[in-house]
Amino acid sequence: MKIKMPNPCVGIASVLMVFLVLCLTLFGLLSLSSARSDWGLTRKNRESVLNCYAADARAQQVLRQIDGKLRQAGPAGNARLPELFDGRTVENVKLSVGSSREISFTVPAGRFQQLEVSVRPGSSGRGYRVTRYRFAASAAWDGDDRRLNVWQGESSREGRAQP
Amino acid sequence: MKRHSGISPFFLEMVFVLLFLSLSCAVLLRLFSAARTTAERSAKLNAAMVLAQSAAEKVQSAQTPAEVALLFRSDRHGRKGGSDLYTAFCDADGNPAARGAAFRVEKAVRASPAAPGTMLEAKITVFSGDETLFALSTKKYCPDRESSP
Repeated sequence: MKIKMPNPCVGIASVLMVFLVLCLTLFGLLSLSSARSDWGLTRKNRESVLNCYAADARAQQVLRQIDGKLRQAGPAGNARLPELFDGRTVENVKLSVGSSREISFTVPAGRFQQLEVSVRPGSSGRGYRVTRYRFAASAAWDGDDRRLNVWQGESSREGRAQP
Repeated sequence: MKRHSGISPFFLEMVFVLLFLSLSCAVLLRLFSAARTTAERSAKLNAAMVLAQSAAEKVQSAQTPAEVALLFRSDRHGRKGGSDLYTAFCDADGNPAARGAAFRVEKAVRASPAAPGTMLEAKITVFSGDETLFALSTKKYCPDRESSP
């Protein structure tokens, strides 16, 4: 009796096709995931940029108000800085006058940043000089309050004291 | 008597494989296309933001309203709605390019008297063709030079 042997090529094409489709699916999903992550980051960056420039525009308006008040007060205004500015609100921004006789204020720029500005009025009582104009974190890092689950080493697992 | 159909199993398998492969490729092509579109959109917005911020910083660096014209002297100048309109064309890398390049950056700058100085207000818009990619507004207060210390 003649036994017909199966064609050895049958099945290889299916296996190759499955492998190819799996690889292509994996690469496709990875590239889509990467592109979407990039897009998310770009959107966050966009929000951050818009917030920064909005805060900057507001700070410029506050500077204009400060300049106007200093000009109105004249040379005598330099001696009355706390009275003129300390605790006053301009453009919804609270001003303060420190011991260094600088007028300071902060403008929020988004959830995590704020624009810190300080100006020093001129000695003649007219105009000002900007001494600080920077973006800073609006809240201090509170990581110290959180308990982090980190590996303490073999010795601590066994209950021995760390060297 | 057993009759063979004439179609070998290998041929039958190849037909199914090609059919499935073509269907899978159609789906995967859409996947790759979506990834490419998202990546391009992201790259365009990033480039637009860089161009807009660069223009905004130029406005911020102006000490007087007259300096704005000097800072944007290489741009095409016009008037629109009471503002000075400066238009520049940039290629995909942000370098200055001829008209019809990848990006068009429009800077509408208005200088309004804000006693005792002048307030510069700039609206910067970056276009790709007719599509608006990014718009940014900025202000710069220029105190009167005589009142500055």
